[in-house]
Amino acid sequence: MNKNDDYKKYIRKVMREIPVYGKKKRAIETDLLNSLHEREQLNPGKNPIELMGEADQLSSEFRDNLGLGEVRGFEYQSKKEWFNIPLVHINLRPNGVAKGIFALGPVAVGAVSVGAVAIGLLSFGAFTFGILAALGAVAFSGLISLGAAAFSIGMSMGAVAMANYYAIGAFAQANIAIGSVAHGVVAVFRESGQGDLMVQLPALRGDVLMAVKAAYPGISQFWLNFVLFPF
Amino acid sequence: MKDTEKQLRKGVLDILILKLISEKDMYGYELMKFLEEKSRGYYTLKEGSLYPVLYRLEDSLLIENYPGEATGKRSVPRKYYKITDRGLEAVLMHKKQWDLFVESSNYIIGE
Repeated sequence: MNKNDDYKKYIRKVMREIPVYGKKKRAIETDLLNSLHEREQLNPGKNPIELMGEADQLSSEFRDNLGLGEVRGFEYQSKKEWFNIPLVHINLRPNGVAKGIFALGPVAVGAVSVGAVAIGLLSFGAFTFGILAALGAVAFSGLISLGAAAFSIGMSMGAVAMANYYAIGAFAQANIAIGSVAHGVVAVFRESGQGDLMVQLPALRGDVLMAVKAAYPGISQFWLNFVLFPF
Repeated sequence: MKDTEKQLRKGVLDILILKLISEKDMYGYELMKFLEEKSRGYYTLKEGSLYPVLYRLEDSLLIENYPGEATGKRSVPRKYYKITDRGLEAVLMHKKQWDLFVESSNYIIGE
């Protein structure tokens, strides 16, 4: 780990105990980084972080002079890191942002993220944005979205489900859409449908199979089985 | 006793820092060192005391910051502070207030 990473880590530790956000937070971070650089330049051979003092004392001084109280809530950050990202970061502080391989918090950003707003590869929460998968009240993803309102490129399932390829929901819109109301190239619907090939529910597996095969003659058996799993 | 001294220093810090910046554009660490040297070690500040003062002065539009030239070794450029017109007016006003404060206090304490 190079010294800039050490500086950033130290600053993160200081900032964890100062309840400021946005512009002011960025200002303190930049100023601390500048101070570390100055100390490094003026005191060769010495560790600027040691010269700056314990992180919790510095946080406490900032809080006193900014007229702020102590930070409420719980936060845990694992010492183990991958690519300079904490393996686990749990931040349950008000307005807390958790950033880690596994992240949990009001706002969570990570490979696996869980939060009111969750962003990552696999995301779970209220508003979720997942590159691979998202599960939430409102879910956006690249591959699979599940939620009250689910949107994705691959497949969506939910009350309102919209996807490029495959959607199942009360309202479904996709190339292959299955729902009470379905819009798609293949629309399998109960109440109303719009599409090139439409099948009204209740329907037999064979009827849906024929419609899908007619629209996508080259579809593989694997995807065919996948698409037909509700029947 | 220590608390009184701390409060006195804290109370006057905004005025001193504003005065220093009115004489020359300075960056944070430079201000800390300058203040320490000029006061012969009396005002030895840490970042947690200096920067909140600078933020207050900025919020009151008495000073503003601008980035210095970036150099290869640093990951961020220095942040210089300069006085504003409003800040210059404040320095003059603070000087009058300070004179009055010292004179009035000395009437009582100085005897």
